[in-house]
Amino acid sequence: MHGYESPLRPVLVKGEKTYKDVTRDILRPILGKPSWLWYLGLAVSSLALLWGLYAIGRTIFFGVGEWNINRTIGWGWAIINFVWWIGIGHAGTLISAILLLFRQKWRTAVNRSAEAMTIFAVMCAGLFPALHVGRHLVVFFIFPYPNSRGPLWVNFNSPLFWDVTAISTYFLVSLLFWYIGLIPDLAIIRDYTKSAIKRKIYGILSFGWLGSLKQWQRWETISLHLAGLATPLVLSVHSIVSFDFATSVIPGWHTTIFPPYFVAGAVFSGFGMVLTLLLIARKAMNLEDYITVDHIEYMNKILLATGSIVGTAYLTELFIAWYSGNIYEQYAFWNRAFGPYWWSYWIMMACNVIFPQTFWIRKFRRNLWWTFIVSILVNIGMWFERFVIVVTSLHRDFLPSAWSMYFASWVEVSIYIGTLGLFFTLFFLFIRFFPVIAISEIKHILGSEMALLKRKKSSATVVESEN
Amino acid sequence: MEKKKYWKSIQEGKHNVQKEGKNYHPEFGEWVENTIFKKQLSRRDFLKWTGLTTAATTLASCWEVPVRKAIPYFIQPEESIPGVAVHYATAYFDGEEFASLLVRTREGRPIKVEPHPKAPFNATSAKIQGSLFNLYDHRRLDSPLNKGEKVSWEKALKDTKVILDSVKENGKVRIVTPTIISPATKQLLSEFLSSFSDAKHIQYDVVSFSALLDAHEKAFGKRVIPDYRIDKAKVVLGVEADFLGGWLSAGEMARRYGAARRVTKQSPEMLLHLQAESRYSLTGSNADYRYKLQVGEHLPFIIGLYNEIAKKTDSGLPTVAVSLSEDLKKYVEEVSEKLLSAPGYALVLYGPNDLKGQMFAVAINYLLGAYDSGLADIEKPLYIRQGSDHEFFELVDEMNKGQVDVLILYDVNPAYDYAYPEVFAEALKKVKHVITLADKNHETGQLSEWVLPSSVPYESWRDYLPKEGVYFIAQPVFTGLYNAKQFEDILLAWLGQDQNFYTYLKNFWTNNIYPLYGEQKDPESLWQTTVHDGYFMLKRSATQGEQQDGTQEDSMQADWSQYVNEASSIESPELSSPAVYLYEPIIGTGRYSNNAWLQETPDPLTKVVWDNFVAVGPAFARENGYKTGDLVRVSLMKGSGTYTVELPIVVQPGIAKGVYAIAVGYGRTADGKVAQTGKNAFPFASLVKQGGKYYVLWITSGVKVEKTGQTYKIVSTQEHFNLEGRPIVRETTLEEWKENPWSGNEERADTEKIKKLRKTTFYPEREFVQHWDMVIDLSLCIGCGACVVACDNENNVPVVGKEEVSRVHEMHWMRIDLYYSGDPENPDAVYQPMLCQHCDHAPCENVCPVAATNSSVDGINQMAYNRCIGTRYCANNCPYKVRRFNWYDYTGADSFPLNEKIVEDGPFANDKNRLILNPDVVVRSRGVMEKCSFCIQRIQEAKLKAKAEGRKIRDGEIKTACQAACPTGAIQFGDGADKSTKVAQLIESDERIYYVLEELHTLPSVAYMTKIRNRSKQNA
Repeated sequence: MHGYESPLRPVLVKGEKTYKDVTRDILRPILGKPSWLWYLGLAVSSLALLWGLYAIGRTIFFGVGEWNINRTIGWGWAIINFVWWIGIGHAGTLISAILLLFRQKWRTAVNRSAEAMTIFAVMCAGLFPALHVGRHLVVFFIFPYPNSRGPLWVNFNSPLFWDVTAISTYFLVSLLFWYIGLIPDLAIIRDYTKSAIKRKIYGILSFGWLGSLKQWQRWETISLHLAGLATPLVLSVHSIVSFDFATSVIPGWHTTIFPPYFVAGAVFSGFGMVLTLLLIARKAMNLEDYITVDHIEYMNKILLATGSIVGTAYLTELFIAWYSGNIYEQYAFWNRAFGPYWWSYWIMMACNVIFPQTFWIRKFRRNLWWTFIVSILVNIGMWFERFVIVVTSLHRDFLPSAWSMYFASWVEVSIYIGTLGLFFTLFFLFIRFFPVIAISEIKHILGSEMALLKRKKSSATVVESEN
Repeated sequence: MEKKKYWKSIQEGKHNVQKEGKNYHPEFGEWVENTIFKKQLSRRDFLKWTGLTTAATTLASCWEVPVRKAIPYFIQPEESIPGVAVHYATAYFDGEEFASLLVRTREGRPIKVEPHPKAPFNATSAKIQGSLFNLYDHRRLDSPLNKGEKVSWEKALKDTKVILDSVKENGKVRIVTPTIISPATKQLLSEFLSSFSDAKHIQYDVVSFSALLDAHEKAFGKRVIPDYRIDKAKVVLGVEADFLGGWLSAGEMARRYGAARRVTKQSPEMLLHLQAESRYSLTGSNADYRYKLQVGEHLPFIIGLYNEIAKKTDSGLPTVAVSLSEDLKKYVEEVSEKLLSAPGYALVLYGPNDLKGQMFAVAINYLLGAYDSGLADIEKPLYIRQGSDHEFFELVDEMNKGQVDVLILYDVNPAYDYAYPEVFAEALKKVKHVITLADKNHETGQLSEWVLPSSVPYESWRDYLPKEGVYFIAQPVFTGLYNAKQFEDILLAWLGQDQNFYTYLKNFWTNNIYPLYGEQKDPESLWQTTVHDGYFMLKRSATQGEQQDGTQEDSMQADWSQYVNEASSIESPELSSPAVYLYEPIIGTGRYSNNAWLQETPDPLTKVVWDNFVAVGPAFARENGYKTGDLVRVSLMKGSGTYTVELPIVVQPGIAKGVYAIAVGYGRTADGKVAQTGKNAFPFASLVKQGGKYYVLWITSGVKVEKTGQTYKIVSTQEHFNLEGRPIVRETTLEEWKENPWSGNEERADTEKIKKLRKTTFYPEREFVQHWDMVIDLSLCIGCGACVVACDNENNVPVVGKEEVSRVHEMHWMRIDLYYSGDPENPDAVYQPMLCQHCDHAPCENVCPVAATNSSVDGINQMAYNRCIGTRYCANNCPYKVRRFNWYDYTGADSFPLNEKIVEDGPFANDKNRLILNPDVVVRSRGVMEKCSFCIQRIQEAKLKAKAEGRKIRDGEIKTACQAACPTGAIQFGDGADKSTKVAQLIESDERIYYVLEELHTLPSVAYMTKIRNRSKQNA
């Protein structure tokens, strides 16, 4: 099919790649031997995971008392981390689903790893609600299943139940979407690998993909359907997570602005994490031709947009608190900025609102080092946003007699480190055993790219080259 | 030929076929199969086998099987039905506080004390509420000790009797006890003493009232404490007298205070409470006007006040030269005006054990007409303190000289709580034989040759006469877990009498008390009545014959001019700044130190738990650079050396400069782990010589306090005492309230609007046939903490210990919030009991994912513990923050002992202590949320009873534990849906009713009533 190629649109894959080049480049880490860096990375992250597992073990065995949450602050790092990880898990689906529907072709270079990241992040996130409860052995009470206790159903009014439903749905759809996208690529690995065992395994994993026309047609159909399904989920998951707070009566939580503000924040932090990972991956795995500076710039634009939305939300909250005349609400926001946890508020403000504003300037958007720093700052900022919401709202609510302070215990910190370990362990395994870029999808855009290149060459125009 | 076998099924057929084969597995093992089943069992074989198995079973049954825990009744006692509580009337006296009680027992085991519904002295303080714990405390002695070695009772009694018999003719015997208010015990003691040639009984009071007793002796010829009827007073002035917090009798005084402070529209007057003090006491925090004295100013103040009143009343009594500061002059002027505004209804309570001040206080009360009006009832006085510091001083002197041959110490612990414990301990070594009778092997016991375990009041038969004309018989409610004997039984054994004290008591009663009843009925039935009711109001008096109410025998009184002259000639104690002010905390003076409930009940004014500390005022702290948590070294030069302790500073508003206030009762060395918290402050008391006698004074100058540079973790349950301008606590003044009953509560004045707002909701309105409501009158809450302890006891609330409280993990279902306002140097305080508000629209309910918390048809917010998974969302969403989470296994309810976090010596610590647990309330396991249930077990019990009797529940029939415990009656509870109940009427029509955070539309079931201070408008 011959489409119109915009002359203004820059090329998405650099280095005049042929289809074979693409396959070879992307499969290199899978077919070859990993470097010592990979082993080091895997070792460090799995050690972190093991440490986290120890902390989890303590929590389950001795009780949630191992954490420093208390009478006044019933949720601490666990829920902060939960919301943080769920937020991070937003970019993947957004890239694969919403950008697919918007026909943003640049997404093909990043969608695979972003989706993987989503799935791993949701796995990390899902750990926390299960761990933070008091009685781990009866967590299953939260599922509405027919039982012999009446039957006794769950409380359908509770946002925590909506949460469980939304997140499990999101996880399932994301996983399906990711895996279905993987099938043609797994078949390529099966065909390329020389090891009989690998061939067998990848053969099973690719469900016997042959690449027939019928298969491709069905594959396209299911991808589109899943994209359609996933699109509302991107919006619903974090809206529902925000209901955990918004439906309460606690000043600082009880706000109608929360759903859009949470979704924007989630996309913001998701892209922050995608950027952090891809900036490393493209360098370490020599994928500069596929994940180009243009890609980085696109994502920086999204960061700028969502960061501004989040900043607007912060200011709106302040205005509403003042305008409402509600003394509890007013105090809650005053306390955020100037109370004992003032530092968390200002870290949040600086990281989420101030630094991303530098991306109005093209030079900053295209500066890889600056992008790397900001992407990390964004995730720090978003972590503190959740800290501000969870802790500073709770620690001084209605009755001053019950006010208290909260600082995480080593167990809570360790579990967080453990989830980082889990995330990176899975990510390292992913880059070793699965193609980080969707081979079949990027070949789609390669066609038009090649045509464009040829045209440009023939008219003797200088190809805009990468520095 | 083998018989042909028919088979019924294939399996059976196979079985038969394979019976010999390789794959054959006999059902009962080969041997059995072959010997018993395969053979044709003959009749003889059958008999043989039967005989063998029977014999074997019999033999096996002879084995002793260990019996553990619950043993059902072999013969069910008639009055005891499993699962049904039995209540016994009894009385309790710990040497300081007397209370008539109703003890709830389950299956013969006392589980809760409640104030007696009818008898006098039916008020409980936090200590009394917690006293049942001491009954079970596993640290109690369970065997007599001779030089630390366990011996049998037979040997102990025989050997000690030998000792006593050896000194019958020539030897000094001394018995030290706390104040004895039991007439029968007194009689027995005098019999015991008279069997020796030189024996003496010395009463030793830890919180001494010697000066007050002596002052009254000088004035009235009777060494007694007048019964201070503050319930009838219009003005009361406390001078360094923490009468709500432990001075004299905390619970009873608080009850009377509450009676005088209760304001209703029908009787809109309330007691005016003035307090002059340097330390900011619980009593001072409740005063309408608090006059802040500098260190040692209580004495010039009381003398100045005497002068002023003597002048103003034209009494003709001499005035006494005293120099007053400007502040004091102003105070004296103001206070005297207020006192004289209610002649005959004004009362002065002077706290320090200082004879001079006490004598002037007596003179003031005389001038105010308090003795004439019976407000300070000297005709029917109190007997709850009779000790003399001087007698004890002389005893120590005698002991030091080696003159005492046998010293019997019953229920006293001077090696811990005397002002000079080391002097006493030294003197003890010079006594030939020391016999200590105590429930525990305490500090003094460890220095004694003999320690005999003695019973605690709940295990003893005893009579009490706490006040003239009010007679109690206390029956034991428990046979006792420990191998202890009652003091009186030991005395009887030493006397060689073959009767027990019950018989003695009954004989004594028949001969001595029954005649005072002035009743015609036969003694046996009256005895039964008295034991059943627990008390009897005597018509006659043993000392004065027929009682005559209200008449004063002037002849008995001193010449008041001479009395004043004598008072002014008495030397004043030297007091200069800085000084240590000792006070009695919630845990009492040592007897209750091992009581984990009391240790975890927050100090009313700082909310500190599990420690004593040096409390200093904010300005003084600023001057000296003290911060809360700074560890300071407090030292005092005493006769034999220097006493030094290291204690943390706590900055507490309202304390005068130069005052270091330290609580006694902590730092026990010879008791359980719980009791060892804090440091002993008793040695900071001083002995002061006044009028030729020694008095123990709890105010001591000459202390040196220096910073150690270290800090100490001091733990409190409340960190923020500022209301931040929130309308959570509402208050007004009496004057304003009289003008406008809505004052302070103006927000709710538009009743129509409030009604409409309360009904504004998206959801269908709920109709209640029955709706449990509570009303708490903030004017009456004095912050004493009795409700907190009662709730712990009733609801098996876990005690979590200092470390867990420091992590804000305390479990109290009931807490008392404290807010300060005004000048930090002399602030106003307000107490607000805070518990689950049982909202009709409860924010906790809709957020629980598993519906573990929900609303009952009668308006109770309930918890289904075994449904709870512990997300804690409910606690987060509770605007009142009253939900408590079991962070760890605080109760031992889980199966893994490793993850238990049980306070050593706490109520869950071991099987003996656990006997205190209420079987009607489930013990919560780790990981579940809990909170106040409105004592649902009591509601349920009353409901069942009413149902069985075919009637409605009567108003006031159900009392929650906190309500029952509250000495001032601040808490009321009832069915709000029944418009005839008291609670419903208050909620319906009282202008002071408000709900905390009503604007959140939680529709709480706990209503508060605006606090009224008895002030004029401009002083508000």
